[in-house]
Amino acid sequence: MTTEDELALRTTLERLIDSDPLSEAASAGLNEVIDKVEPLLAGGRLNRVVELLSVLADVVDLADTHMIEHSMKVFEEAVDGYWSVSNAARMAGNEVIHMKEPPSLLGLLRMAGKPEVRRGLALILATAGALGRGRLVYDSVDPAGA
Amino acid sequence: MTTNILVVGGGSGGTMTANNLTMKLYPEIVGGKAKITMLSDSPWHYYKPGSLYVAFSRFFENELRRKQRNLLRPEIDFRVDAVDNFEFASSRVQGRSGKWYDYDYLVVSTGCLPAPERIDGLQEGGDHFYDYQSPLRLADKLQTIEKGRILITVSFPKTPNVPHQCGIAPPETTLMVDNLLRHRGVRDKVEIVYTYPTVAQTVRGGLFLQETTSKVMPSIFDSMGIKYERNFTLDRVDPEAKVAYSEEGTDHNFDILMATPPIRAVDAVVSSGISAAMDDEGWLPTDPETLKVKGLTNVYVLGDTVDLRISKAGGAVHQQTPVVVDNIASEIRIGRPTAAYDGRVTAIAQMGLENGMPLWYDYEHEVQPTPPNKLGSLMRASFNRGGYWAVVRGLI
Repeated sequence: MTTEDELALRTTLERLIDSDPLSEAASAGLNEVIDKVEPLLAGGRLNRVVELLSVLADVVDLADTHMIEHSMKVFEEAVDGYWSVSNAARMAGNEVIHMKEPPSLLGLLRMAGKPEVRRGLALILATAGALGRGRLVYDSVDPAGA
Repeated sequence: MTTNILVVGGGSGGTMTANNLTMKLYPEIVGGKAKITMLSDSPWHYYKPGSLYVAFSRFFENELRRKQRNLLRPEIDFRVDAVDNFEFASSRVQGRSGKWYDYDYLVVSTGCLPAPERIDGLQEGGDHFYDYQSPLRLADKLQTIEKGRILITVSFPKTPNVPHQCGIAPPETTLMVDNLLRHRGVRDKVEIVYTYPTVAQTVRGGLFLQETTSKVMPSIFDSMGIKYERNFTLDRVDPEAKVAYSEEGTDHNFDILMATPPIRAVDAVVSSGISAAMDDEGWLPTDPETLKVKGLTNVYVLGDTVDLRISKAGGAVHQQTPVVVDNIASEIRIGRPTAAYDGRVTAIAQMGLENGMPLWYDYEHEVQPTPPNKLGSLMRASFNRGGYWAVVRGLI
């Protein structure tokens, strides 16, 4: 910041503080803010804040309802995933912690016979299948380019 | 002995309360000392505030609903069984299936219903945005009107100082209509007339249900060329002639009548026998701080079913739920309720299609309007499109 710029800023701030519409409480509040901002100005750190605000303003300008809709779909799917896994882990943890001793192999097989366990296992296997179909059957790098 | 907590209603209030209660009372639930059951009339959970966007062709039904079971903590026993009968004296309710459900604590969160049939001719001549089908019809009209007159009316419950559903919705949708018609290029050929009744809770002859906002509305409407008229309490509608008549003796013709209709509680609440509301509206007498039903020691109520003066909206329910949850938990644990509701309501108003305005108020403070802006609209869109489903799960 040049000396002229600093002078202009100081004059503006002084005019703000001295202007009639500001109440005593508002002037005191403004003085407090200036005290906090002064070291940021002196060290040039306020520039980063202005740059950050500029980027944020750009993001708001660029964003539209379609972008929000797509982003929030991702958010909802992430929440769904967290919700399912955390609920299942909490319920399963509670079930296991109340077992007096670990189930025997036969006991595990009996557990696997329960419809909800079979449904859960089916979900895991179906997920594995989907991962295999979607991600693992082709190379991520084009072999022709090697 | 197990404490049975019964939540009736699978909307915003019931779902948030049941989920938050589950986590609050988790030690009691896993120890078998507490059980939470929810009864709802539908396997679906609808995002009701989204209905107004249907009128502007921005939402479809499948985007507004989710399976209720997927929104509830798995520890909650969820039953699709609409409640037909509340028997408060013996602490039990009867489902449509005929089954009786006993409770130690009951949470009533059954919402309210639009009742356009309560005004002669409004059902046939008017449109609203408080379900899915009506705004769908309104959307067709708003997309095809080329010239004429759109009349906006607002009807309050007859019970004194009880608001209509979602206080900010009438100005919100008026500004959205203006924006839509401008986008369509027909705004200069379509007149928009916003009317407001003489009595709006404590406001008389205003344009909104709070004085501060009521005073700034003319400048907003003037800047957009929207006409407005105070003291128009909708009395009857002639659907053939397309004329709306007021109790004050005036009338308006219209091509589209966009009405905020009368509302009432659900049948089972209306017939429960404990409501002191006028005109069989059914609002339950509610302690404004504990949110208990007055005269009943083990029944709480929240959301649209209360007779409080604060907004019947999701932004109120979000603030009421923690109070009900804390009070039930503290009654179970230390024998007395500990939390008090301060009337706080938070929301982001959709001020036109592209601008939003975050707002809050409570029993002591009115809304302080701030300039609507794009960031507010993006925040509202984020909530509509995903934030809500995290909120009802009790995650936010």
